[in-house]
Amino acid sequence: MTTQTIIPSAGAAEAVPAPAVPAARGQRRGKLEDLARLWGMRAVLIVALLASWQFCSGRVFPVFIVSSPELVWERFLDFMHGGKLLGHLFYTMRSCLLGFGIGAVVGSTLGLAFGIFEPVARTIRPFAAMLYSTPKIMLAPLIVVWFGVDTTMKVVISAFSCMWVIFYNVWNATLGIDRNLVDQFRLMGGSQRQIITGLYLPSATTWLLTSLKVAFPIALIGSVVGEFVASNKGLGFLALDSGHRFDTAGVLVAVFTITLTAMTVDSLLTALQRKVALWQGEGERK
Amino acid sequence: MPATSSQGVPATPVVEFKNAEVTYPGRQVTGPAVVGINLALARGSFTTVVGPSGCGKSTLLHVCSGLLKVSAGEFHYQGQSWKKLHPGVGYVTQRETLLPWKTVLGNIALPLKLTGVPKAERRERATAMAENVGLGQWLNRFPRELSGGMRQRVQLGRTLVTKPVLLLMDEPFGALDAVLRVRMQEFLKETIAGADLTTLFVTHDLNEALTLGDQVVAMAGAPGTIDQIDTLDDLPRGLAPVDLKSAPEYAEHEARLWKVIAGNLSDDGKALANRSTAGGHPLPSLTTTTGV
Repeated sequence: MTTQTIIPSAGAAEAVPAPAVPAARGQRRGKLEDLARLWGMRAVLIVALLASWQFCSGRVFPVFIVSSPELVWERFLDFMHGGKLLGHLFYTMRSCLLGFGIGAVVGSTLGLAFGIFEPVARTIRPFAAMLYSTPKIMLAPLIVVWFGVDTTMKVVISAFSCMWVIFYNVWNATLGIDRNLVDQFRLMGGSQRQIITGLYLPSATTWLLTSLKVAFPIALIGSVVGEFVASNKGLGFLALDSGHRFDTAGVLVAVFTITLTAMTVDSLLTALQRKVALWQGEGERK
Repeated sequence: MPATSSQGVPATPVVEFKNAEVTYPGRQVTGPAVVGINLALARGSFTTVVGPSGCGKSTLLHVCSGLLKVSAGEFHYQGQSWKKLHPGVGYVTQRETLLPWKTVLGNIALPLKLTGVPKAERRERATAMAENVGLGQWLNRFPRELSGGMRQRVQLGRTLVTKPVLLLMDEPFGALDAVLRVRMQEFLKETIAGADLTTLFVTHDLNEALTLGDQVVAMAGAPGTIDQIDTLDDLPRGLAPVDLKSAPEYAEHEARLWKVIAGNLSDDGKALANRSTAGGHPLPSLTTTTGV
């Protein structure tokens, strides 16, 4: 007589990772307290730095060289009057965002193409490396000759500066795609277009977002360099013009404005990255 | 047992290798991966393939799917030679090929989406398949939120949702622990029972091969050849793997296959260079040629 062993079905007893559950109220309060403590410490640090700066200004270092928080604040209010600062910020951001957008599209398209069409990549690789290694700022005079001194020139410098980091990241991401996945797509009836849109593009998304975070400050540098080269508008111009007039506070207002803008965009990109990368384990289910 | 058509004549095998040799493109210098392959898979059969690493087991699956073509000899899928990928083939690999950005439902529905099935229909079919593979409660979970066994069931669901004619499985349970592997073997048998499906299942595990298969193909190499095709007609069917192992016939098959496999292993467990290739490509010594 044969005794039959009953084995529970695969779905019944299989260990399953616990689904994400909302944090308990106590845990949430603990997290909030941690966050408040962290920001409190940061605020104390900022106040301490500003106080030291204010104290040293005129006592340890000449005001002419280091300015002071008070003077910077006054200059900020002065620049804000009549929308002067916002006008410069808008001008810089316009060329920066245009350059960043173009750089992102061109860089990711080229990265994708290089990853998909390997013979093309093998042929062009040394030329790409050569262009990547070239200090982009050195090309600025040439770009002025080609595109003039208006916004187009700043957009081109910005795009050309930032596209490389996006290009290399997307290229690497595309090269890293498992061949088995590509074969699976083909076996499931996927066309080349479906493989690109349904596999290559989503696979490269995380790398693309990471590279965008790195690329944005580079695009901003590109715009400012363009304004240094030839401009009568923008935060780069404002910093340069203030420097020429030995207005240290004016230079610092321009610098702080551009830094805060870069930080804001970085935060937005981080939030986007978290949202998109939910499936990667970086995000959290709400 | 070979399938027969309604007229009583033997039906065309779903897959048929005739003295086939396969060399990977660009690897002509290293020589063929498999030689002298003669194998036929009757409709509805479940064939398992065992053999040491590097003996060309996966190569057979690649040829069956159409990803790779034979370089000599003949290969027919459903009685025809194909220049492109073979239609109606489902392929489950050991390496997980789920899309991490798609949910269980999205992954299972993927092949339907790629072949242009309307949204409402593919949702309905994918949901039904998810229920079928025991994942009805996990439709909106991402692969990272599932266990290894559940992910393999999503892969199986994604493969079966298109109702393939031929199911290719390349060590699908290789990464699972022993208990889960046995459960998945049971689950696979239950899931495909009643489906008009021909299965070619590659494994390193002799027990798995004997538990699941109607016939076991033992390979040797390299280059890979078929050393033996062992039909398991005398094995009692419908038993749980644990009970099957206690059957005396099981022990006989296991011993016989083990002798074939162990005789072709090097000290490091890899495939020995084929002993009989010196005088050209050998034909395998087929003890049984079911369906050929």
